[in-house]
Amino acid sequence: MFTREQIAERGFYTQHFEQGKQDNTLILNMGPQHPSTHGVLRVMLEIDGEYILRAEPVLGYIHRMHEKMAEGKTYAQFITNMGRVDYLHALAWNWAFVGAVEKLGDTPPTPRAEYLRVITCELNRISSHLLWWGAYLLDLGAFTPILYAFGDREELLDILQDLTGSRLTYASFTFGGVVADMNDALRERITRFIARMRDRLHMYKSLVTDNFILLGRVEDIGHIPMDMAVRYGATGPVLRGSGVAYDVRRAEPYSVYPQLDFIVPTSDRTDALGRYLVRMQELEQSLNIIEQAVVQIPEGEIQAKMPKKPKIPAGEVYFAVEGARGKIGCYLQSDGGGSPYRIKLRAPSFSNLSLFAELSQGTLLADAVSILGSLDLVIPEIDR
Amino acid sequence: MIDPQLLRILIALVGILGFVALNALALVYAERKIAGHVQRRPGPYEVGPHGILQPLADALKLMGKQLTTPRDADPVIFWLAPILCFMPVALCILPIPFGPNLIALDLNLGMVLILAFAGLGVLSICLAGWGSNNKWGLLGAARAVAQNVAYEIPLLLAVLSVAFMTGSLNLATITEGQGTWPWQWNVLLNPLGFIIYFICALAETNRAPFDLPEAESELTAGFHTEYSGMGFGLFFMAEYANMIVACSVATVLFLGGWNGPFAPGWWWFLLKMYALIFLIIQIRWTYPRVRFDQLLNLCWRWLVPLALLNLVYVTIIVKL
Amino acid sequence: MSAHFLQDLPCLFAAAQDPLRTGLTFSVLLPPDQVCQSARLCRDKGYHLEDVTVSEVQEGTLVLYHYDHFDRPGRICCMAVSLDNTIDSIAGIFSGADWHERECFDFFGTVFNGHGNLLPLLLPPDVQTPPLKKPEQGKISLTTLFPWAQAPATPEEA
Repeated sequence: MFTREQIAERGFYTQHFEQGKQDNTLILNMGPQHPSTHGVLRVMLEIDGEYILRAEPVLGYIHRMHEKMAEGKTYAQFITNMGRVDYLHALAWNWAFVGAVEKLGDTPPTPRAEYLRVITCELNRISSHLLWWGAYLLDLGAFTPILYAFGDREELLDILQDLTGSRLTYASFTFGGVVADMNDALRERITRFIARMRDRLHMYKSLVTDNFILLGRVEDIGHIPMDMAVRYGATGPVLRGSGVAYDVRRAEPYSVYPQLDFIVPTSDRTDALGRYLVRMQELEQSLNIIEQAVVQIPEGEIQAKMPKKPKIPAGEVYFAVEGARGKIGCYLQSDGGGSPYRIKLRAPSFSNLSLFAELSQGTLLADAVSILGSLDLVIPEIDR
Repeated sequence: MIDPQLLRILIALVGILGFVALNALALVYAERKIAGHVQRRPGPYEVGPHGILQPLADALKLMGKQLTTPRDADPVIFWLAPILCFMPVALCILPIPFGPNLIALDLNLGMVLILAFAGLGVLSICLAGWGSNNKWGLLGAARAVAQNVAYEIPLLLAVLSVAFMTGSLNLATITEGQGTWPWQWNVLLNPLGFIIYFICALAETNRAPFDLPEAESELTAGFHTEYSGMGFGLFFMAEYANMIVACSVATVLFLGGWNGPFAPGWWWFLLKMYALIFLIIQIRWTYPRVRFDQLLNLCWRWLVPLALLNLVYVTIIVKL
Repeated sequence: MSAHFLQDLPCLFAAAQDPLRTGLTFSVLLPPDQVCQSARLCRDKGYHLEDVTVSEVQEGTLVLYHYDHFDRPGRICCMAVSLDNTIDSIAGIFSGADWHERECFDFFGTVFNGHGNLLPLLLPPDVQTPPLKKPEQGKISLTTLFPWAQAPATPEEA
């Protein structure tokens, strides 16, 4: 434990790392501008040849202090911040915050809005997983898949654009509902997209997943035993890839997920391939969910009657949703005023990345890249 | 009086440099177009019809760029490396018979000359990585040395198997030893040798899936991380020139050189060579990259023993 | 409801919560020296750490630990009020707490005793005042936040 003065004396991470270096090792600075750290993650590595002796992620390069911003904004103003936390699965964060406020204020959304939320959130999950898939293969040196994934994603983003009004930083969930409705033309397009995506997933499997070079790069790489995942609080595909069937949508059901039929894919492999396969199956499950939701969706209002300035009572609430990367939690404390008293955003990538230091010890540099990719990190979400 | 042989070599060298430079431009365009179509996009499209002038624009851009030497780099080694990388490749093309009379230097030991100069390429990569005083560059250089040294052995063994069959290291003789029709070519008599040679050629030219010295998702850009402008441009040209050499040698050794049905000549040679290059490009845009230990395992565990077995097989064929 | 396993600790307040209203099943306010013990109990019961966070109240620094379970739904919240902005670290029990505690150190200046690497995580090392610290008049009391803690004793008296 150090005081701020002592930290200034000791120097920051770089020096801290250089001091403890052995004679025959090399300190390598991976990032914050490295092609495979996807954004501005920085990892300090001490390597012996190409073997990693220790690794330490250095965070904070895209820190924006969302939690402080929340304290100066009204509840409604803060919704747009949530799209910037995790830009790949923005709607899940949107939902976590809106859901927390709704729970505390006891203003549930209308049934039709619940279904619209499920549909848009799952579409968003597919687009997130597709991007991860392409980027992960890019990390492994395969250039082409990411362009195929973007082809699918383009069609998906067009649908989401018409459904929510934006393509990346969504903010379409409001307290008590959503901003835009789905018409028959959109429903038709979603159905067509589901059929197309199923076809494509078959192709991806035969073209990429079964490729022996790819299997050589992901099999038996980065084993996360179950107890290690639990110790670090890992969630999402990282945890499910270690054989724990934990999904917030099933464990702590919210919205209309209990009425939808889907399974929680898991893998007992515990390695990078396990996490890869879990995500590929999640794509199929999300398609199943959307397929049921567009059929079951009831008619009605998309926005519940709300006062112009919602009164949020004093108290605390914790609302968790399942994001593409794991459990997204929003802990909210209210003093009864117009803006949150304290808000804590629990980012899944934050916990998932914290196990990287232990996981990457003794692996090759190329494997560390593979492991980093298999954790599916979104850096703005970690730094917040 | 100038020695006519020397004059011939000088003229040939100038011609080869032009050929290599033009080819590099054409291949850059081909690579980007093929990549585009593999990835369901049109590729370069803006400069000239169908983007055909794009490589020219790129070349001008590279030449117009400022040459920067990183602080603490060794300037002599740093700038020697790209030149050293490009020149030996040009020499490698000297003894290659493109047509019945289209050969710059008819050497009895042509194959040895190619192998000797090709070995210089790794030295330049090593110098580039070392001289640029960059940790990623150093790692890339270390990878390049280990990879090239390892793959030179099965490569030599595969070449040796052909030399056993023809009893010569003269590339023109090897070409003439093969007949007009595809079934008379070495690739059918010695298919394993061809496969081993082709895999090794991929590794020796640092092409995907064996592009570990410059694996950009791991080592940012490997040995040429610090190079900009024509420094990078020369490495880039050398990569394509290396591909030309590797594919030309494969054409001579295994695919009958300029031999071909109906009208033997240099067009057959170029056709075969470009077909091989096309295959290499296609592989690059299809497969992920292997890991380093997998790369070396493939070499020591599979290619070297197989190449040795292949030699035994070839000796038996020759005896029969 | 049967007695909760955390009720065996010398807790100041404990109450079962309605998960539909707060998202929690059980909340407990512990003395600061019981934080490690509660973490150990939770670990042995198969809970995992969701997050560690800090909030400032009139009574002092409120440190909150959220635990959740994979098999049975139910988030529990362990809390402790520290008067001098220091508390024991649980990084030795849950490795995941390491970064969460460093983040709290960043945002509130809370010092976690026994944490081996309490360096700034998200903020630069030269930040003078922790950004989430509230002015004294802006703080609210524990009882506003947790109506169920309407007990006679305040943490100082206990």
